[in-house]
Amino acid sequence: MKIKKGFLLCPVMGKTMAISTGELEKTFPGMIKMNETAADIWRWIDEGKEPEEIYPLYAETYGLDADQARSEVDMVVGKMAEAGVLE
Amino acid sequence: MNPAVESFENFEAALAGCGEYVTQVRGVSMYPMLRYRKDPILIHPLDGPVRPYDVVVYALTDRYVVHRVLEVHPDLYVIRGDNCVGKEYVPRRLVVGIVVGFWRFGRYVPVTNGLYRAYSRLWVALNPLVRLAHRVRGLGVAVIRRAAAWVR
Repeated sequence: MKIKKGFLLCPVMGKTMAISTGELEKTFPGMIKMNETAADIWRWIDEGKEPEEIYPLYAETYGLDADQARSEVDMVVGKMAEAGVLE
Repeated sequence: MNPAVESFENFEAALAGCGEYVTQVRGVSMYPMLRYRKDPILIHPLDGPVRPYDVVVYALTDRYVVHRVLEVHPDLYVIRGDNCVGKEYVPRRLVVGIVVGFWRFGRYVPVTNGLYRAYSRLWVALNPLVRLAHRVRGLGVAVIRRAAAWVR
């Protein structure tokens, strides 16, 4: 699982907007808006981490139990997949 | 804080859905403030008065244009790109958004930034020099073309 090449993250005032650049603009002309928590998950995926590696990292960063971390990470990954961000 | 992700398929959907949109300009008309496909801009819907030096987004039939307001009149705005010489007379109803900030080298610069405000006023005042630079460049291109034709 990885993020398609060509997304640019634009952080501002507690939120992050991801926009497409270059060739990606032709297939994804829109924008994805995330809060800081979701943006962290985006960055971890962008670093090449798999969900199994992200669950404990996310749980530790935000002080959550394993089940809640898994549920929230899966929700973000699902929305990213739905938006066509992942390949 | 629970994670939140929203996806918007285009400019109109984003402005209507979350009240903001980020994009990169495709052109050099706002250079040096905005570099072609390099500096993202943050756009909000127009919900207040537009003032001179604001950078607004107006709609043409096939695209959106991001240029700076020079004058505000009751029914139209006089607008020009920072790197342009010609003025545009744009009916108010065509203006759909306003630029509230941009990213330069990854750092967000709000339009309330003092340095940016100084830049915008200085650049508008220096527009005659932009016009001169365009003429000199045009003259240079003409001379080169004539010389090339003469050599052939």
